[in-house]
Amino acid sequence: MNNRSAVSGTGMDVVEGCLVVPVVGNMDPEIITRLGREILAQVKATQAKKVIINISAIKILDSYIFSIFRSMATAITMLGATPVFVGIQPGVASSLVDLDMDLGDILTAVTTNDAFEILRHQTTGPKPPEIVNDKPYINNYKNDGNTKERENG
Amino acid sequence: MGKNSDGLVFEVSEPSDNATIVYNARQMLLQMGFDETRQYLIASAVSELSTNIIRYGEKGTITLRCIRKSDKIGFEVIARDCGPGISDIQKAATENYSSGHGLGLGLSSVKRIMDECEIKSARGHGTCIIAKKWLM
Ligand SMILES: Nc1ncnc2c1ncn2[C@@H]1O[C@H](COP(=O)(O)OP(=O)(O)OP(=O)(O)O)[C@@H](O)[C@H]1O
Ligand SMILES: [Mg+2]
Repeated sequence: MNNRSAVSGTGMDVVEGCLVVPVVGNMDPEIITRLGREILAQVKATQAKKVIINISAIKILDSYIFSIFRSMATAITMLGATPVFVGIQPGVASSLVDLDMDLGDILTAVTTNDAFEILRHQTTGPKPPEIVNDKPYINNYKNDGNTKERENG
Repeated sequence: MGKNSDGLVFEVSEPSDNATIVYNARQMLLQMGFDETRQYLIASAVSELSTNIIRYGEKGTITLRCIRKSDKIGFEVIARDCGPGISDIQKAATENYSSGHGLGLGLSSVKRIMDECEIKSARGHGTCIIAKKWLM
């Protein structure tokens, strides 16, 4: 079973149930706003519970662009998914806000791998349904094809 | 865009002007020898000032200059408009204060990024902001 699928025409990808969005091009507020709408549509369509938005191409992130990303994060959260932003340029966060950590409720990661790691340990998001018998677990296990090695004794 | 001995002067009135200004700021910073990270940060400070003109000052100008002081060289941005002005400058430059729908991070980030930032404004008399960044 393939757990990676491209969302055609958008450059977006679904990996491990996570919508991965590359933001390309420059800092045009209109384009970014439009992309935000596209992301929301894809979150709904793919039922992704996690969204990784790679903004490393955005070199000049001013407060206006930042506010658009923040609204985007809020909207994604309202759809029940957890967004993580990847690739904020060095120094940008600390120039925008006093403490690097206080980016509103925005989760950030340096690399996409770190983002996956954060999302794996994310507990504040919507909880997965509780597993009563072991069948669903087996299914989940099989779907998790990206994790190549397991501690198989 | 106008060019004179004082540097590059840009008219600012609509969002598309901002992209041109930011692009030129980066080119100038690159030529002056600012490293890439600082080019981006300083360009974002320039963007804050021109966005504020569009948002609050309606229209104005942005001037980008290479400046000298004894043996130092630096980059200067002057943002000027004849809009409503800022009545409480200290409050305006406080993080998270916005009279509009912004996050209120613009002016405080300009202050953090640049070495010097002077805000001259009075209610009804427009706004002039001069910010400098020294190389080294
Ligand atoms: N050129 C200007 N003319 C008049 N008022 C201004 C001007 N620039 C800034 N201000 C005032 O100062 C306040 C703070 O500006 P600042 O750039 O920090 O925040 P913002 O533009 O409201 O939000 P953000 O920059 O985070 O998107 C503004 O809300 C506005 O009231
Ligand atoms: Mg602003």
